[in-house]
Amino acid sequence: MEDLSNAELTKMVDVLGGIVSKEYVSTNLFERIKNTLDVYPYEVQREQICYAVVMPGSTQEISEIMKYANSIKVPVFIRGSGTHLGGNYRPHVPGIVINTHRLDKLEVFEDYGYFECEPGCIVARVADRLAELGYFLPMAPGSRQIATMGGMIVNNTSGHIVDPSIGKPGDYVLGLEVVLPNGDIIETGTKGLRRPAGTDLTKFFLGGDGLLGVITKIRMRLVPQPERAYGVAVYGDLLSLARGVQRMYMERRPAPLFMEFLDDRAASFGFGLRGLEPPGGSVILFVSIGSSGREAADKADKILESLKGEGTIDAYRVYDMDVWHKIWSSREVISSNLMQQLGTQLSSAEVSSNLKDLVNCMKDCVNFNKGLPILSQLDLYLFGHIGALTIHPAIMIPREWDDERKRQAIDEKFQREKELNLKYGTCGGEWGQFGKRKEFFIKRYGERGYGIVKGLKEMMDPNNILNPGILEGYR
Amino acid sequence: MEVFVCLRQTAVVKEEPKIQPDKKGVDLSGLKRHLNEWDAYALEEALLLTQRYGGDVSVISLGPKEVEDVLFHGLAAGAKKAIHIFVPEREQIDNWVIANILSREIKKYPFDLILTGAQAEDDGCAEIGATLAQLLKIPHASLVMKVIYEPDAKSIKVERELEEGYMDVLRLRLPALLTIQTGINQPRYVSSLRLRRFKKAGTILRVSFDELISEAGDVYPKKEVVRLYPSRPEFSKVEMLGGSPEAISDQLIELLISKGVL
Amino acid sequence: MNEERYVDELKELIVDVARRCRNCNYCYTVCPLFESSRGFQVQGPSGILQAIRYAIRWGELEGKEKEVLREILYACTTCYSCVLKCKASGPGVPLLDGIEGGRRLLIELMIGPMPEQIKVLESLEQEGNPYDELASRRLDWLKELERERRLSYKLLPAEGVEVLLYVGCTPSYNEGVQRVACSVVRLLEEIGASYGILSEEKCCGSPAKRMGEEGLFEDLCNENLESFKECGIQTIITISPHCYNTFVNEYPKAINEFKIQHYTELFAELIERGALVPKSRIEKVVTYHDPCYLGKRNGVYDAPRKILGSIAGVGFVEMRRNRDNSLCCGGGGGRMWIETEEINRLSETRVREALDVGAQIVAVACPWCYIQLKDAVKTTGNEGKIEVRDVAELLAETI
Repeated sequence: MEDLSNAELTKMVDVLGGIVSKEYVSTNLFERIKNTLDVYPYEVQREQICYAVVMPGSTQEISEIMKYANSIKVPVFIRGSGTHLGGNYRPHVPGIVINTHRLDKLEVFEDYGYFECEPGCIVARVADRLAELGYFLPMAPGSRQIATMGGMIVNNTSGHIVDPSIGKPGDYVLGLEVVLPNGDIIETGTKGLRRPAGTDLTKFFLGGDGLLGVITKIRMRLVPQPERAYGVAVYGDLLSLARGVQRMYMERRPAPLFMEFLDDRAASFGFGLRGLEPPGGSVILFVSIGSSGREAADKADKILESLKGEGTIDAYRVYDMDVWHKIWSSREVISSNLMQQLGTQLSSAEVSSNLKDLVNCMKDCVNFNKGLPILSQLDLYLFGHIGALTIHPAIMIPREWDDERKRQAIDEKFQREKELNLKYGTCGGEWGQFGKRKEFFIKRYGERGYGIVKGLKEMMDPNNILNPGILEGYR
Repeated sequence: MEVFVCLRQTAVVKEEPKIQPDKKGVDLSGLKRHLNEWDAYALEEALLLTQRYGGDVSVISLGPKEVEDVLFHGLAAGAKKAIHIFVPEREQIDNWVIANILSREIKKYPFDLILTGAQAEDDGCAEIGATLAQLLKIPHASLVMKVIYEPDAKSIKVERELEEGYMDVLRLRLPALLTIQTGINQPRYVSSLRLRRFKKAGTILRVSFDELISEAGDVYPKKEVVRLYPSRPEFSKVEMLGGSPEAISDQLIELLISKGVL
Repeated sequence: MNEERYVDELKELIVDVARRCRNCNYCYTVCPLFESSRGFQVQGPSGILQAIRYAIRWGELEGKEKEVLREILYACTTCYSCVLKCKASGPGVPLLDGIEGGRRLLIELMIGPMPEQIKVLESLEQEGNPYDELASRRLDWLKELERERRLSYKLLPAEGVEVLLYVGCTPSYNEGVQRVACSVVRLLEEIGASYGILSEEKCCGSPAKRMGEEGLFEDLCNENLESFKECGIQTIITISPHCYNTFVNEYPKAINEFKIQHYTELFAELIERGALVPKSRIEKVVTYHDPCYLGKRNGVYDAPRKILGSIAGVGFVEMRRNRDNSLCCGGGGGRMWIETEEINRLSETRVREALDVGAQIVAVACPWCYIQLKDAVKTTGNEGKIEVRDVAELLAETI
C-alpha cells in the first residue's frame, strides 16, 4: 500500500474527527508509536507506524470508520491493550488504529442470566464486578489486569484455565454484536441461555483472530462463583509429573479449574522468593472447583490420589489461604525475578501436547532449545498449564542483544514450537492461530484448510482492510 | 541572516531598593544580576529567526566583568559570537554613550538585523534601540510582537503592539533594527549545566571602551541625574463603612458618585 | 566541548532503559495518569518511556512535535507506582530513570522544562525557593509563631544543637501549610527537644531534580550540605516527604553522616517510647492518604498510622487503595506548576475514595498532598463533609 500524501492524511484526520469528534483522534507521533507496539522485544520500524489513532465511543462510529477505510482503501487495526503474547497485534503496514478503551460499558442482567460488555472492558474489572455479585468470569489470562474482553473473545482463549474443566470462554458467549469489514452491523447468537444448535454466526468471530469482523458487544452467560479446593504435588522429575497428569485423566478424575506446573529450578526459586521452603522437586499446583466446598474438596482429594500414583515426593491439600496465596503467586514472581536477576526479557513458546504422548512431549520440551543456533545458547525454564497439556518453554533473551538477534531467537522459538505441535497433532490453545504461526497452520491443516479461511476472508473483506497481515503471516 | 542582539545585564530587584546617599542612584550592591527581561525575548527571537532562515546570532554587551554572564548565557542559548565591550565601573556613562559605543563596534561587522529589548528593567528609558538605529543610519521599529523575514525582497515585515489591542504592521528594508516586546515568544531555558560548560569553554571577544573612544573620538553623557526619590501616594485616613450590607452599599454608591467614579 | 558527550550519554541511558521494557503494559494498571485520562494523549509509563526512546532513535527530539514530547514527558507525576509494579510483575525496568533522564535531556537541548516551570527554576536559583518569594521572608511564619508563645529553638548555625528541623519551602511560604510547620514546632517544644532551624534555609533541590535541572540541583545539594556541616547537627527532621526522599536517596554520599527522618518517624518513635502522649481525644473517622514520596518511594507506611492509632477516639479506616497501592494526589514530579484537568481529577478521585469509606478526616503527611486534597474537597463541593488535616496538626491538637 502506498504511503499517503499530506493532503490525504489531513483529509483523513478531518473525516475521522467528524466521526468520533476531534478530541478522540490523535496524530501525534508518540501516540501513534505506542499504539503500534506489541510485546516483542525488538524495535518497531518507522514505516509500520499508523497514520492515526482513534478512540470510538460506539458501534455506529466503528461502522462509519470501516466504511470510510474501505472507501479510501486504508487498513484498520483493532487494538485493546496490545498485550497479545503471540505478538499478533503489531501492524506491519501503516493504517488507522482503533483503540477500544473508550468502549467500556458493562451491564449485568441478572434477570436474564447474562451480562453484556463492550470490547474495551478490562478483564479484571469485569471479573471483579461479577465476583461482587457472586458470579465467576470463565477466563483467566495472566494479563487480566490490563487485557481487554475484546482481545479475549477474538482469541477465544481461556488463559490459564484447564479447558476440560469448564471449557473456553466461547462456550459461555451467547451472542455478539459485530461490525463487518465493510461497515455493516450484525447481531449473532441468542438472548436465551441455550446457544444456537446448528449454524451460529457467533462462531465466525469468536476466536476469529480478528479476520472477519470487529466485535463491539459481547454477551456472556452468568456463571455462579464456584467453591474451591487447593492442592500441591511434588515430583522428583518432570517425566513422573507428566505421568501423574496422564493418570489423572485416565482415572477419570474431574478436571481441575487450574493445574500449573513448575520445573524444579523455577519452583525452588519461586517458593524461595515467597519465603517458603523449596519443594525439592518439580511441582504441580492445582485448584478444583465445585458447587459446594465439599464437592471441591472431594475432587481435589481424588486428583491427589491419582497424582500420588506416579510417585510423588509430597502431595497435599492446602487449607490456609495465606499459604496458598504465597504458593500460587510464586508463579508470577518467578518470571519477573528471573528477568530482573538475569537481565533478560522472557519469551515463551506454547507447546500443546496430546494426552497419550504427554511424557514424550515433556522430554521434547526439556530439550526444546537443543540444536537451535541461537536458542541453544540461552537458558530455558519450563512451566505451564500442564492440566491443559500446555507447556511453556520460557526462553531468557538477554536484553542487550541487538534487534536482529532477538528477532531470530523469536523465530527459532516459533519454529521449534511448530515442529512439536505438528509432531503431536496439536495446535496452540492460548494465543491464536495466524501471524507468526501461519506456517504451522498450513502444515497442520494443509493448503486446503488455510484456503477455507482465506476464502472467507476474501469474501467478507475483499479490500483486505481489517487487520491485514495476520492471515498472511509475517516475520 | 546575520543578527546582532544587544544584551543588558540588570539587577534582580525583588524588594524596594535602597537609594544611595547622594540621592542620584540606587544601591545595587549585594543584588544578583540577570539578563534584562526584554532582552531575553530579543535573544530568543534572533535564535528562532536564524534557526528558521539560516545564519548566525552575535551577542554584544557593555559593562564591567560581570556582564560576561549574560554573554555566556547568549552563547549557551545558541549565539555563535559574543562581544564584551569592557567598561570599568567608575566610568560615567549614560544611554547616549552606550548607543554610540555599541554602534562603533557593531558597524565593524556585516549584519542584517539588530535586535534589542524594548526597554530596560532599571531605567525604563527605551532609548538605546532608537538611538543606535539613528547612529547606524538604519530603519527601526519598536515594541515588535512579530517578525516575518522576506528573503527575496531583503526586507522584514513586523507587527508592533499599540494600545487598545491594535497592531501596526510595517515593512522595513534590511539592514534594520527592532526593539522587541515581551510575550513575542517563549525564551528557552538555559540550564545550569549548560551554562557552566559554556562559562568554561566559550569564547568572548573582548574590546575595551578606551579603544573605541580613541578610535572615533570621545563621547560624553548627555544626561545628568538630578535626583532619584521614591514616589509614594498620600494615604488619607482610612474610613470604615459600617452597618448592614444594604446600608454599606448605599454609602459606597454615594461615595463613588461624589468622587466622580460613577 | 563535552556537551555532545553529555547528550550522548543521556541518550544511551534512556534507550538502554527503554529496551528493557517489553510492552506488557502492566504499568498502565497502576499509573494515575492512565487512570485519569484513559491513556489517550498520555499513554502510561511505558508509553512515555517509548516516546522518548523513539524520539531519540528517529531523531525527533527537536522535530515538529517536540512540544508534544515535552508535554508527554512532563505529564508524569513520578509517583513510583510503575517502578514497583514492574519490579513485582515484570522485568524491573527503572521506568522513572528513563523518564527523568528524558527530562534532563530536554532541558539540555533547551526544549524543556514546561514554560510554566521556567519561573520556578529561576526562583529556585535566585531566592532558594520555587514560589518566587523573598528569601528574606522565609522565617516570617516562625516569627509569627514566636509572637504567640515562647519558643526554644536555636537559629542555626549555633552551638550545641543536635537536631535540625528542615522546614522546607512549602511549609515556610504556603499559608495553609504553615499550620503544619507550626504544629511540628509545637510538638518539638512539647517534648522539650533541643532543635534548631536554619537562619538561611534553601530549597532541598527536589523540584529542580524532578524537572531535570541537574546542575541547579547539584548547586543546591552543595550549598545545603555546607550549611548542614557548619551547624554540627546530627539529625535532620523534614516536614515534606520530598525533602526527605531527596536527602536520603539523591544527595551526595556526604549526607549519610546525618540521620534523616521524616517527622512522622520521629513522633511515632517518641509515642512508642512514651515520651509523647496524646492527651485529648479526636472523635472522628479518620483515613490516611499515603504520600507517594514517603510510602512508595521510601517504605514509610507504619509510622503515620501508629501516630493516628495512638490518638483516642480516632476511628481509623483504610481507603480502598492504600500503602503501596495508594493513588497519587497529582502534586509530584513538578506538576504543582502545570495545570491540567487530569491532575485535578486525581485529587478529586482520592477525596471521593475517602468519602466512600466514611472518613470525616483525610490525614496527610505531605505539603503537596495537603494542598491538592484541600483544593479537591472544595472543587468537589464537599466542604463541611470532609476535612484534610496533616498528621502533625492532629497530633498537636491532642497535647
